[in-house]
Amino acid sequence: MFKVNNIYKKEDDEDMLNNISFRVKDNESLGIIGPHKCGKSILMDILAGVSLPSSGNVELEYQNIFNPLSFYTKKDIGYAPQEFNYYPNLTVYEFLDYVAILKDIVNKKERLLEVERILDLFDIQRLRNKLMKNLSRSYKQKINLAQAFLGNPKVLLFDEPTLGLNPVDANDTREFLKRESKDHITIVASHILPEVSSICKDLIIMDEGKIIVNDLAKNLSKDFCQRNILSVDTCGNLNDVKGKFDDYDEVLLIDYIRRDEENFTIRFELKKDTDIRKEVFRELNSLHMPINNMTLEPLTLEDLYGRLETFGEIPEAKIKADKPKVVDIKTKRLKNMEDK
Amino acid sequence: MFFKIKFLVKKELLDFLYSFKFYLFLSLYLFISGYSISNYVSTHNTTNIEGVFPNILLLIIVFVPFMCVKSMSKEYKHGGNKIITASPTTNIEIIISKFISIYLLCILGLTCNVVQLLLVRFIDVISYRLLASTFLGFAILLFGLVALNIFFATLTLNSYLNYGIAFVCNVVIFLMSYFIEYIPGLISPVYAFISLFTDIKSFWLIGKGSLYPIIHSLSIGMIFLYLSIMLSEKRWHNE
Repeated sequence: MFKVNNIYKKEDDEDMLNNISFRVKDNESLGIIGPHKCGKSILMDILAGVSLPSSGNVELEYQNIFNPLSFYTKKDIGYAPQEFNYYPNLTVYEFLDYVAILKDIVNKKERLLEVERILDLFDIQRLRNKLMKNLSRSYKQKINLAQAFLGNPKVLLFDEPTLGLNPVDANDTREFLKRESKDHITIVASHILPEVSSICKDLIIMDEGKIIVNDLAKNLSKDFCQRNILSVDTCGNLNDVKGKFDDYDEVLLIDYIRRDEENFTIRFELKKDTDIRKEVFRELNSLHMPINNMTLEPLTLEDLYGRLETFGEIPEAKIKADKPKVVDIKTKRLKNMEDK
Repeated sequence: MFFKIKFLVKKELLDFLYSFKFYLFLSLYLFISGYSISNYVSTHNTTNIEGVFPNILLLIIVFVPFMCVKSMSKEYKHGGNKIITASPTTNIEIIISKFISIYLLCILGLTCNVVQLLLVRFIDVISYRLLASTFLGFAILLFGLVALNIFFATLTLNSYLNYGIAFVCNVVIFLMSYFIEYIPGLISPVYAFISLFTDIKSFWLIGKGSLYPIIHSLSIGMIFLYLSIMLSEKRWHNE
């Protein structure tokens, strides 16, 4: 059991973290999502014992990791921080050997076996004699993740594990973490919602140093993460288009964003695996409205925050809103726009 | 603990020995000290080499802060401080290992100086006793000096600022040894305690030392190592 109790962190008279509490049971995983500079990295540093909180504590198996008497519980925590540019003049093997020593694997034979296990696990045997400074960003990140697994710790902490990776490597890394983190308590911090949701079962959302949505494991379903946003840039009379798409089953939310007197954007939030581009084209064509741009993209964290601004929270009922609620949302958005 | 320190020292040494910059600075150090020795011997037409040592001391107070600041700042630069503090490794182990590795490298530089001085033997006779005593004097002095500079290297997160502070302080402490006789009575003991170089001079001026400078340098070293550990503990956990 990994337990975080009322973590509060103050730096330069600014509240960096405020009353953060959660717990993760054995062999379970938790994702922490939030925009840049929301306090994720500071929290991860505290969970790893790198940084001390102003108040509160972190317990692993009922032992406070900040207590000098239980100092060696740190051995059971593997941390892959966001910044990684370690010791350019060491080879990959020397670096892993060094981290193994730091993690108190003092027996030479044991350490050798452990480093070999990690090299095999991450399929990086061919890199063992390469200097760290000669590695690509992608391989450096792989080594960063690899060192966290050294010593088979109970808790694995990953801060932005796919940052700087190309899409293929990022996907491989996600799959790998999902597979390998099963026997550990895993906490992943990221600003990419689909990434966290693909690795972790439970999710929390942070903003401005606070957990703004708690106990969201079941609420933020994978269905939500896989929704698409269709953005259509057009021009003409906005009132003509209002109400045209209300009856579409695929549409969950509609946003009308006026850019100037004539031009506006219609943003549709669509259900999982649905596409209404043809229908939108037909409707706008019938209204003689030109389409300047049309894009279909997955739902992003920014969209989620847009939702948070509207409702203050993301209750399950509103996320999985069906028809009448969609109309409510549209009305609210339209009302906001008219007020402006 | 000692086992871990041994490995950390090895890693620190490897990190220095694999670095191009280290060889560049070592070459520069040996070139300047070699030039200083040969210049002194030829201009003074003597193999009485005691006048060379202040020059080597000046070099040491330029290069020791550089090594200390580099060693401490690289953890921040490379993000290694997070790996270290997340592991069950104490700041005592880290600071002591850094201290030992820098001290060993300084002894390496000093040994090269001894070799350079031995070459003077080909011109004329030199005092081996003076040479051995000087080596011992410098080794004792470096103990305090390296610890002092490790402390300066942990003062802020800005490595340039740390180097500046360390360099200025080293120069001031070095110059103190020349002005100690002009210091009024009351401040004199404090002044004498801070000045690492004053008593150590006897090692190369008269070829014999006393127990006092040894205890003095070791005490300074211990005090500043303790302060460095305390400071880095605070800094690494709060930054």
